[in-house]
Amino acid sequence: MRPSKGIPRQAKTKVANRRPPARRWGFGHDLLCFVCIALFALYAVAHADAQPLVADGPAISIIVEQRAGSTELYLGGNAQIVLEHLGTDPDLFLNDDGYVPFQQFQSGTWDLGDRLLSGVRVEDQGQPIAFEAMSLMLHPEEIVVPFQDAVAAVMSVSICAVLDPPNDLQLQDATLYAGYIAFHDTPIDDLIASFANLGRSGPEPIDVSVRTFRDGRLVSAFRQTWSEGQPLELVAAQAGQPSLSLSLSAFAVPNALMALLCVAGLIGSVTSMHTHLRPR
Amino acid sequence: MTVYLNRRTFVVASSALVATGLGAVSSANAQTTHMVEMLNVSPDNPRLRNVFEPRLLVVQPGDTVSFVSVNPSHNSASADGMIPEGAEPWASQISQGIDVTLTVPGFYGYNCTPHLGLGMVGLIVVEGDGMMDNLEAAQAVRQRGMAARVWDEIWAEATEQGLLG
Repeated sequence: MRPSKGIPRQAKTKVANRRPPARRWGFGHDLLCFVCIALFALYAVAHADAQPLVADGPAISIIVEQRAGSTELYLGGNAQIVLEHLGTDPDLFLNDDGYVPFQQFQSGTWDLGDRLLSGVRVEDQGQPIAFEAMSLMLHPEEIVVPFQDAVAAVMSVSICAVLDPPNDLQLQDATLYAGYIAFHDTPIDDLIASFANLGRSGPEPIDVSVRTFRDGRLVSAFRQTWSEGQPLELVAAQAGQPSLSLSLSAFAVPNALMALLCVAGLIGSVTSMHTHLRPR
Repeated sequence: MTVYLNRRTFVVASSALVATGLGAVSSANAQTTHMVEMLNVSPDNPRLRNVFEPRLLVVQPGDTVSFVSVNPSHNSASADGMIPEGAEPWASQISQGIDVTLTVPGFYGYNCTPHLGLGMVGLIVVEGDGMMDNLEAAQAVRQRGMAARVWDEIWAEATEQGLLG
């Protein structure tokens, strides 16, 4: 018989049956884990809007980028819906055959952009702000264009998504993106855009998302429903406004630290649960 | 000390002098080609989109500026009211480059036609007599959208380089 090497069988059994004492991390640890999970949930909700336009996304997405001396405004959404709800004549965007005339857009689209926003009144603390169109573009619906912040939005209003645009694209199959800028001497604290409803809006209320950035940093994100016949007022970035979006953003900055906390919390929670559930 | 030149030495020496002089004149009038790239993203700052690189260029009369279409969807076109009197305006097709030879001193503003509102603009300064003649007119042109900010930056750069007098 081959002699046994190492630990005798009896000793092995003892070792196998020995359980380490349950490691209790204490109430403080459990509380920390709970807080981290809660923060993770809040973080996820706060960033739920940080997606490109998708089929189940908002009908119109609005991005506001505030900088010293200027504010940029970007709109994105299904072309037909956007035109209907902003009261813009769709014929401006169609050729005689009823298709999108991409070739005509090569000479610049700011005039179309100005027409699109002509029914929108934007003001700061009661004072009107003149937004001027930078560019407007239509992309085939199946082309997903990033539209989560101002940098991506600039691309969406400037770069052709396809090298050879189709000559039979209709408005209902196109996504419209438009960019605007307003210059101002003093910082804007209370941006309100009132979208005048000109009686052409669709029969169904639409979902509008607003994401506001300051110098590239997300400061608020929220959605609201725009019902037919009602003007749409967008409070884009009110300092001190006790809104859910601002509360979330306060927790979520800086994002990297937040993500780290969440991961640590989740790992800690799993570890803690495993420890507690382990039979003793 | 007196140096005596025979006919052969005189001819060789004078020919060398003439050749040297012609070479110097030729060198002084050498026409240079400058490249300007039309880009989706600035190589220096990825947050800057739709740019000419470089956006400020100083050249001599007779130099050629070659606009290179690196990324599609762009073109180069002289800006209305922003080139010297007597200078030829230009405009390339979308996604195509163009070579422009500039002979009249002055300030030449240009832009990408579809991306003017997004601030895709640039300035060429052709040095020489009368170069300041159209400065005021060029600076007075109303700019569209983001171009207003970019032009402020370009004029500031030109000032820093001492191009505006």
